[in-house]
Amino acid sequence: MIKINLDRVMLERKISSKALAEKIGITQVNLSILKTGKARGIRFATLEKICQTLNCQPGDLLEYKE
Amino acid sequence: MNLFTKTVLKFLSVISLIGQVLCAFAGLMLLFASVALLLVPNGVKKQLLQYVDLNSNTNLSIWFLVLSCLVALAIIACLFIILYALRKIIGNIYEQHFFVSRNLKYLKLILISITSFTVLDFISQLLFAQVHAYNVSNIFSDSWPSLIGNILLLSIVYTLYVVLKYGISLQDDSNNVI
Repeated sequence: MIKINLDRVMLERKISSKALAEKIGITQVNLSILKTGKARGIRFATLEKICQTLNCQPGDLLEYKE
Repeated sequence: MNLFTKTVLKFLSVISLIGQVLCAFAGLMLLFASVALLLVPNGVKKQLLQYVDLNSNTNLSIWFLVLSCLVALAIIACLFIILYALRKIIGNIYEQHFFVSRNLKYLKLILISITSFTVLDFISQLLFAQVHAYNVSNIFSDSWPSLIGNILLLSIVYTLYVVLKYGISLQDDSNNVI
């Protein structure tokens, strides 16, 4: 399964959900769905904006676990 | 959505609303006529039936007439429900709500109503064949081609239902991709 480490990266960058949602242009509800791993998928455009805002790599956000 | 589509949808919505009003009026009139047939004396009833012109067959039993009226009322109710659901679907499409569960619910209602309409049409056909009265109504024409037409319509609406159901699952998938 794919684990989302968005919470950890956000904590490291000291950014709130509200601020991140505003910067990447999605709703807080959708960001929460993404953080809790309930989303069925993530668009490349969203991933790119998150990486750009948090100054990280996609691998920092996504992790494969057996 | 362009202006032409919006105009057509608005026109269809108005037409279905007019149809609904006409169905309601026809239902009320039929109810009034059937109650009147039950209440008036036999002589007056025969005189009334002459105006109806059931191929001059005025020796019909009162229970036959009541049953026919009930079937006709049910058919009108089916038409009313079909028009209501159609108007609701048109309204949703006008507001650009295409693949929503509400549309599936209304299409299901149309499907059930068309099935009931077809069955009731067949029953009324059998009823009138019993007394050798043909082409009694213009709404339910009591003919085999109309029955085949209804079955064709039913299969088209069912296909639409299956397509919409798949479309809703695709929409749901798309909504869950962030």
